[in-house]
Amino acid sequence: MNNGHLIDTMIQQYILDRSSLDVVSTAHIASCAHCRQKAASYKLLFSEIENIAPPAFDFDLAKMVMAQIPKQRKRNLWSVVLISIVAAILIGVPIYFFQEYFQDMIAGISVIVLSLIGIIILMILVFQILDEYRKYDKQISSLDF
Amino acid sequence: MSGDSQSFEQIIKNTEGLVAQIVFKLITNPEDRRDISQDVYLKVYRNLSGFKFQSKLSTWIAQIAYNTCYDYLAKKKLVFHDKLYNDDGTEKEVDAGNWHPGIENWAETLIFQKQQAKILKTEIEKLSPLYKTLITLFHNEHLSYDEIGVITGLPDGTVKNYLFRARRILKNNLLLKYKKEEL
Repeated sequence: MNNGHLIDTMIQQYILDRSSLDVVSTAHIASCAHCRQKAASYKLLFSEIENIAPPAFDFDLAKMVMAQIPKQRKRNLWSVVLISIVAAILIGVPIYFFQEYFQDMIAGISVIVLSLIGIIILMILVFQILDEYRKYDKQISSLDF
Repeated sequence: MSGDSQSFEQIIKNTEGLVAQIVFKLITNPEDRRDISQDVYLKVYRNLSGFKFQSKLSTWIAQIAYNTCYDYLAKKKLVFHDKLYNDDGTEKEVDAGNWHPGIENWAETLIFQKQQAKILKTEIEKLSPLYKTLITLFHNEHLSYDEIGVITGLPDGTVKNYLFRARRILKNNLLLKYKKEEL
């Protein structure tokens, strides 16, 4: 309060978010012509500011920037294919040579244990997919201009 | 995202309005505006892979724009922020006097002033670069205190206080101008 009237900060707060101002101050504005007048001035000021036309560049910014950016490199599809083949060989060859060992190992495990392992793997996968989806969703919402 | 030229062009088109608001408020020279705005997007392109999705992409780009302008002003040793306090530590205030009974209809009069928008624009331009940027980001771009804090690197409370002061100074300056025209 200043000389029995609300200070400017409170009056601005009243215009911007009436609910955030305490009941006594709100009631004061309702009954005080001086503060109401000030509030009206701020309200008008805010709406006038919002009406100001936004500035714009008088040149094609996107074009100018894109001209300075190095051309996009073509993705080398062959390197992706090559890496995939090498990975398949690295995983496939040991499985092929040690298949009997693997079969014996699996045969020695009971169905219940195998099912349990399967369920655990499935649950981990589901949680990972959900986590990735949440991350993706957050990233997409941050791209919302 | 990095490396996709078409997507990047789209990002520029979607955010250049916000960047323009910041650059126009902080930089007065048109040639410098051109160089700085290009510099902003080249920085964005180079650092796009470092965007951590902790804020909106537009907020992150606005932060780069703000920092680029700030660095430019610092380099040129231009005043970024008016001195807010007197030597005795009290807050500096533009004195518009007490509310004058004769200008009770200030609001109505302002509405009917033919050049009201122009006057307001001029008075906003007279504010310090920081104040006019805060006013623009809040009232024109409708950003939250939190987003403005991210862009300017100021705490939320400081953003709020600066905004309150900026609006009060603006209102008082308009009143002073009105009083002078009345005389």
